[in-house]
Amino acid sequence: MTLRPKPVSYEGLYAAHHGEVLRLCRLLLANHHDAEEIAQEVFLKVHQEFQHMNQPQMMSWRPWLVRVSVNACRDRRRSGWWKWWRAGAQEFDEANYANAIKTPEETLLSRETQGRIWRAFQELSARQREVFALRYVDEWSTEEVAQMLGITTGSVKQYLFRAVRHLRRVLGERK
Amino acid sequence: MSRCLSDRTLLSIDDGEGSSVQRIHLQECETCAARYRQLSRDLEAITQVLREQPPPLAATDSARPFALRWLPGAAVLALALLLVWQACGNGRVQPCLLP
Repeated sequence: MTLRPKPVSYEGLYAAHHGEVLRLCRLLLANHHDAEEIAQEVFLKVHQEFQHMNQPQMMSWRPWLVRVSVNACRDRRRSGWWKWWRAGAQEFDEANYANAIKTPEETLLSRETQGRIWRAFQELSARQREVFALRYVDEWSTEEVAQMLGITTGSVKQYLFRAVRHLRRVLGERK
Repeated sequence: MSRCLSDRTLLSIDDGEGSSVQRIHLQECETCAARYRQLSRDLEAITQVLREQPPPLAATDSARPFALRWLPGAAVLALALLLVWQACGNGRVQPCLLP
């Protein structure tokens, strides 16, 4: 049995997926303001698609949103070299990082670990970040990630393995 | 199967793959089982951090060579000096900014 997408409105789509798109853009760009701009651009494209397509409400939008978001982030990284240059000069802001662990010692360790993970994530290649974010953070399957990024499942596994190895190495340094 | 599983194989098992032989080994080998549990814990921790509100920026200045950090500023300064020099008639007349 083939699952047909449920009919949706633009408002419904925005409410359901804006947070997810914004999180993905933040992961790929590591910049809150750029991520918000890109998320706005993505939903502007959604709006345009709604105006131009015959039955946009019947389309499976989530993979489309991911593809458009990843491509938009890629374009931003390519075109905004100056922004990236400037952005690199800013330090990781641990004070802005919410933490649920109670004791000060645990909080300090945890913040340090979170900072390490974030830095390590930004050290990954753009493709490794995309693959890891989609596979583990957004929980798409390996096949779906491959389809959305236009690469083979073998490549997805290869990027994943390298990303996981790097992130675990950094995580292991605290132990 | 006596040889322990590689990290790559453990990751593929975590991804829902891996052969039956590899899965049986994972059940029987305490070392591989412990490594697999650690992999799952690490992935969970990493994913949890990345799912939460990310910091504004994760990059650090130290990753960039010192000379490159100053390159844009130096280029702008050089351009400004060149423009001033040209505005003053290539240095053949008195500096225009002085009384």
